[in-house]
Amino acid sequence: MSIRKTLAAAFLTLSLTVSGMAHAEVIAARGVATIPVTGSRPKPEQRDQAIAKARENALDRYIAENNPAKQRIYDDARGSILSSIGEYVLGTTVLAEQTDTKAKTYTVTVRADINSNTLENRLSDSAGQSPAREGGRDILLVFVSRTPSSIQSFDDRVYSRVDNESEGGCKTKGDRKTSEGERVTNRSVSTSDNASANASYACKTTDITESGGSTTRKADKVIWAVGNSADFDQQITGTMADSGYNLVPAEYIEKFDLSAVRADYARDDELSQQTLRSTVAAAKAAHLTYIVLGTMTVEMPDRDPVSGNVRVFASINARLLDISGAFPRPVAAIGPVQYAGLGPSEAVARTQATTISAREVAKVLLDRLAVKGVR
Amino acid sequence: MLKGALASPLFVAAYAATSVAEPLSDSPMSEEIYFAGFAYLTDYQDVSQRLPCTSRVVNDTGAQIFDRQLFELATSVPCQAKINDGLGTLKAGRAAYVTALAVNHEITDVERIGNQYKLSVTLWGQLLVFDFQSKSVVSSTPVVSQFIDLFDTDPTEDEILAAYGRLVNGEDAGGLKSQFAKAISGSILPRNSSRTIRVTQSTLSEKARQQVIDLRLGGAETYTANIASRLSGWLTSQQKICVLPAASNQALGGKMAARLSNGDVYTLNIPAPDYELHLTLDGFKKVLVTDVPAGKGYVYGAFVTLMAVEPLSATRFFEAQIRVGVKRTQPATASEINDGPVFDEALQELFMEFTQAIEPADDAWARQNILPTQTAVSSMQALRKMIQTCR
Repeated sequence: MSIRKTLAAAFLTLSLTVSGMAHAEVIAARGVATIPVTGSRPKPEQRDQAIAKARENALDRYIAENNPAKQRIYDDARGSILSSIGEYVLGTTVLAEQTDTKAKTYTVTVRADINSNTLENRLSDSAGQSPAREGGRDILLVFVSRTPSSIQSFDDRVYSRVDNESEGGCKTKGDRKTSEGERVTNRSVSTSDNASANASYACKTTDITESGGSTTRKADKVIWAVGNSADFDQQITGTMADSGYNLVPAEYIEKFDLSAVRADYARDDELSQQTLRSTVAAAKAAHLTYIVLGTMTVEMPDRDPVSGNVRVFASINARLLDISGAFPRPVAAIGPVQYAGLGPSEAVARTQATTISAREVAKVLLDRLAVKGVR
Repeated sequence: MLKGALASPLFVAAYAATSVAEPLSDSPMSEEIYFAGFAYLTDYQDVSQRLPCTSRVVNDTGAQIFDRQLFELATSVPCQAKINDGLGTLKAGRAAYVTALAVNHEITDVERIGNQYKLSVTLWGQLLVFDFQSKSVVSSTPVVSQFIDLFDTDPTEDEILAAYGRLVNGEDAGGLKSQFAKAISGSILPRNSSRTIRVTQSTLSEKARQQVIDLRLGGAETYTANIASRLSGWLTSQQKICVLPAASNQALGGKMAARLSNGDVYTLNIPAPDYELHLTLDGFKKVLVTDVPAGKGYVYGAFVTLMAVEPLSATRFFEAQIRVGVKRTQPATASEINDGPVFDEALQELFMEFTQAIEPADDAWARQNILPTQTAVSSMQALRKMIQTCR
């Protein structure tokens, strides 16, 4: 019986391990390390040492591509993570090796295959975020999705003016000479005459043209339609719940006027003072201490010039407020950031844009909450 | 550098032999490959510019009808893998193979010979197999099809279109469907690569840029993307390695992605490669080599500079200029040769020969076609070692 139980346990462990490995998200990161050597090539132990350093460098570089909040969490836990690096780096592949005999150094470049899920879980545990922990913080989620129902574009108003001025004059000059003569002799009388004329004519004109004008451009007039943000809410709620936070949809809060929030965002990019105050008051009345306020603006679809798919951009603006004190205090601000989704149809592309946006927003919120010690 | 005359029908036949005469893998594959049909290895917005006649013929036939014809053809020939026209699903940890007949560009060439006009239409493409899990091209078999006809007068646009119609839809041995059938029956899936390689930079020198415009080879930007795609294809097919695509295009991001039910495959984020290839087209050159009463002989040369580098350590495995030329004879009775298609053919020949010469090593070719000559063999050796690590 005990053998059967042992085998069953082993099988269960193996299957869980395999399934875990099958669903691990493996991210490739590259690292480089240089060590001093004496000879023309490194000794085997020196090479191993360099590869180990390069592997750590790869992990550091991977974290360096994350937001500052995550880097801070990693910095705090770096020592313990590196001491058990084998749990997070599944494999190391050497890409290039070089020995510089003049500088007496050996440089190796590696690619480290990082189990990003395991690493993220480790960082979450360091930050006190865990799906298994009880008493996770309740956070009010107020997110509005809007799309432009119409966009009126205006042609440029062009005003142009041309002033013409011309001046000129003509001069004429001329003279005429005549002469007559008469000769009288005993036998005859003769007369003569002579006439000559000179004339000159000169004209000069000057035209001056001045032109100018102005062009007036008018911003597009956009009428927003507030839509359903269920896809976004679901994605962000699930991601936050995985770290032990409970996002409370606004619909469940008594005395909370969601329609006022939607009406404000349909007109403008900000909530009115009255709506903001009433939102905070309703949240406090429900004993909530944090609010996530934000908009997701889904733009008009266009055609991706590369793949030919429909493309939809989503712009995100969000802020996390701490309302535990007398006045709301901003804890984190996200955006405006844009994410694009592609798909064969507008619906698919919009879903992709929504999913990507929600995932990225949740990541930043979690990291900011961890740094602030909100658990 | 000098190659024998590539009389077009012979070139197509020789080419097809090169691509098909591959031994079948000794490890039979039971992999399922989803069939995406006919696609374009160019941006969606450039299709009508780069392949005006082909796209028109396919649209007139009906894209879905044409896809169906290709699928029936694919399943009628022996193939190592199981071709499926259904929808696949991308699952974590498992490869998701999708294949398509993707065309790159078309070339229309009219040559006057005596009192007749020779019309030659050529279509360059690849039989691509792409793994949406690793985001890499796991197999690429070049597919070149050509049709030649003679006319008593300068062919009209309708006659040219009809020639493309016969090339695309016809049953001729050199036609697209026949070449596709050969490619499908010879195509194999390579083993997974342990390292990845990608053409990350593709540029035209100032001289080449102007030449591309003057030779009417297309817009400079589209030609730049086009040559990167061609080099990637040749590397995959000749060296049997997985290559990350140079860029997304209508085939990968549109037509092939549509064969998987996951919505996120449309956002094709190509991962960073382990090794990068930087390609520069330096230009083309035409040289008169013979001038006799019967006609003139020219060599059309293509010149590229290629660098293979590991980006983080900046280790350079290969950096050299490669040059290849093709001969072309202009009979005394013929009109002037249309240089553009011949130069393009020279470039295609360069990519094919170069990728062939990597392994097995062809030192003689390297000494003849790579500059500087003194380091040609050693450069190819370093490149070969790098490519070997990618298998």
